[in-house]
Amino acid sequence: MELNKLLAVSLLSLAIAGCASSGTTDEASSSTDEFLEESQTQAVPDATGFEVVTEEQVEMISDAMLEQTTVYFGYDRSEIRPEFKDVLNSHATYLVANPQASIVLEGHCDERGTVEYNLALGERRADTVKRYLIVQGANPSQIESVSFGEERPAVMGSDESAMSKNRRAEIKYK
Amino acid sequence: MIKRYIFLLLMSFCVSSQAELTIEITQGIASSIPISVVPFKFEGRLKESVEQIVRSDLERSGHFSLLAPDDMLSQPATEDDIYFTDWRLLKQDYIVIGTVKALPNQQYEIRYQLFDVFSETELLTQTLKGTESQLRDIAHRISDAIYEQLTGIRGAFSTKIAYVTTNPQRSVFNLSVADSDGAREKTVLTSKYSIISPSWSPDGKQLAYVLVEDDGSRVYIQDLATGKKRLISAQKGINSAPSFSPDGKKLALVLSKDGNPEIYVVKLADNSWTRVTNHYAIDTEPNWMPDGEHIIFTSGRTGNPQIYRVNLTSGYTERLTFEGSYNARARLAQDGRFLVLVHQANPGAPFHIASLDLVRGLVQTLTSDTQLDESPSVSPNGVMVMYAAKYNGRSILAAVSVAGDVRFLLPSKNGDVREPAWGPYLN
Amino acid sequence: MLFLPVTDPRSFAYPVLISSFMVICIIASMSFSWSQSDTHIVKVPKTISARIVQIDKPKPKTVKQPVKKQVSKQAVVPPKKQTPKPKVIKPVDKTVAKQKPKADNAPLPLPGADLSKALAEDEAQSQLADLLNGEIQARQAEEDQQAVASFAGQIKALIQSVWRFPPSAKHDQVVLLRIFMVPTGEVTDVQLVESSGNTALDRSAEQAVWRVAKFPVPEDASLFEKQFRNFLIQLKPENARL
Repeated sequence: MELNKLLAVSLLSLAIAGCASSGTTDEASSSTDEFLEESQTQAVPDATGFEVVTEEQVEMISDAMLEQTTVYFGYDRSEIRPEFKDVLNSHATYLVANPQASIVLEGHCDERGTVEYNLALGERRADTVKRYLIVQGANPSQIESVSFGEERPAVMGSDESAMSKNRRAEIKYK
Repeated sequence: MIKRYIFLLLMSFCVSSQAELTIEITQGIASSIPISVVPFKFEGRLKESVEQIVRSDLERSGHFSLLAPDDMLSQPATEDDIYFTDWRLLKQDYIVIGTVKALPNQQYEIRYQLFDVFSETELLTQTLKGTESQLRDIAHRISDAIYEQLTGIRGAFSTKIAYVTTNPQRSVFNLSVADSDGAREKTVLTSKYSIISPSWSPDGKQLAYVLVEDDGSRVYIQDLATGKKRLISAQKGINSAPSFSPDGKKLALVLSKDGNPEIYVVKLADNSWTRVTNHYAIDTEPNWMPDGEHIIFTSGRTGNPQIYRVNLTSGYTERLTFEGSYNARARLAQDGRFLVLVHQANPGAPFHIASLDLVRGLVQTLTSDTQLDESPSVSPNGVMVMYAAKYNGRSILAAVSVAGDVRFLLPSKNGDVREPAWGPYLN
Repeated sequence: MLFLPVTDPRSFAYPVLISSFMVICIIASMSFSWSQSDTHIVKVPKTISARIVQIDKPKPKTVKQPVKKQVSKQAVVPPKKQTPKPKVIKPVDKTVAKQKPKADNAPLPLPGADLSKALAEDEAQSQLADLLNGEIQARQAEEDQQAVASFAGQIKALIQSVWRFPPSAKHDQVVLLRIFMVPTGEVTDVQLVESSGNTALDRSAEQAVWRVAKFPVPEDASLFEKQFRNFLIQLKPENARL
């Protein structure tokens, strides 16, 4: 059962990785969306297109996904955007496969809004990610969450591109 | 007795042929009061000019317009030298004169008088003594007395402000305390962690604040005289947004130990905790009402932040803000008549400081020339609001009157300044 | 905009009376030929005076109340004034001017005499009315009233243009002042008759009068003596924020 899940996730990840490598990040996220919708209903038939998936490849793909440790949020939002679900899925998979591993989820905000409300919002973002990972099979004891509000921006600046990079949750392995 | 003729006049005054004339005046102007603060007479040199501090205090309040000493026809130091007609000619309503006298034991004696130019009467006179280092305190005391005499509102020039400064890399944070005009800054805490939400105890002797440490936020109370800090709360999750009760015995704060941010009250004497809110949405930024019976706070329970008021005894919770897509971090002004808050009119609109008249239900946006306005803090007399904002890409402090008619930026030092907290009256 | 009795909450009759009176007034003034047409004038005052007999009764109440208050207050006012103003500087011209009204018409400024004076005036007026042709008197009184209204309007406008009330002023606070003038219209004294409870507001009101310093007044000496030698002004900062 668990192995099946792992395989499914990996197949999915492979497909996404393939797509992502061929375009800019923006394109990647949109094509990911499309693919996700398709794959959810037709995961098995599509898998034929990939012919053979070796254990090695699975390992490699997972690593690639695991390297992405940041998910981003909409303004004043804390729900997970569809394009980040695979990243979180792969982390969940890893946590399931490695029960001794544990992570800290850091919630962050952009500088708009009040300091204290953002501290609360940052926690909310970290908690949404935490709940998602638990639903995907991770053990609650593996995950801690902390909010830094708007106190630790990833990028300095007040333009939208800087702010969109600051509305985030970061996954940190201990 | 018969009055034979009465004529109704369709104006706001009324007369009858035998009645005594009474004229009703219903409109006035709310403009600043012209006042002259004549340079105080002193033989010698001082490091502080008392009347200059008084002048800038009064000017900064927005309620006064000051005549420059160069424009004065004379600079009297005694009552006998005042030619009131001259001052009337200069369209001055009030005049302040004074003298500074050096006393033997390195003390100074400052005497001042406030005159009404029209009735030619003395309204106020005081003699104050102090050392050279106390001249600023004396000047602020003089400003307070003049301000109260002429506006009917207690002066708040002798109060302190606390704020946080940080370097551009955000690697060092300083919590500083200064005079309300920004002078005599003193750093009370330096930390590698973000310092947020400083909050004064009602006696002005302690500051509560939050350090956003690597493993979460924690609430401390620091004694300003000794510099000792005490950990108040380090629960799992958020520990933040401290606010002293009016009697100074309790602290309201936000904890998320139960899963999401809720408001709690802790009795400082016995460390007993009470939970105030219970809602799955964000509840934060508590602030006590002057009665000690209610707390106002920000809640996201309708989907976006709005201000609510909760009765601590009954738990009855009432929404106070309805206009705008984002209303947060409310503070009370003028005996609770006004809320001053961070306001966004609609999604995508800029964040500004606004006031909400709780009696008339009117929202007035007070700021416009600064961006991302936040952390409003109201002076203890309820007249001015100090807030943090972005200006030319830097975080600075700015001030605006609750009436919205006076605005100024505070002289910004290097780096960013954030999180102002206006202290209480000190006497 | 309000005729005094309307503000009296005790009576429903007055508003009715007054509104009918106002209608009559308006109609009368519209039909009234302002170019001295006698036939019209005769009718107008008659109608008005017939109504006035009833309306008159509450009238002295509202008029006399401030007078009475002034009587009791005037005894209180001087010490009151001295507390916030410990040192009163009275320039020569002021003290002289202040004494002037007292000397000029001794019975008038004496507060106690105000009532009897008013009564006496009323009686004298009615006797005069019997002697004189009612039409002429009506016209004269009306002209006087128009003059009074016009000067009162100017005084009001002048004070409103300079009255700078303090930020602590509340829209429902009321200051009552008595202004003393000499026939040139120069203010010789301002007395606080009723405090608003806000010293800064009281002072701003007094200052507003002093700031104008000289008001337009009627040249007609009798009219000046009757209405402008001293009169009351009521200041209420209705446009205050609080």
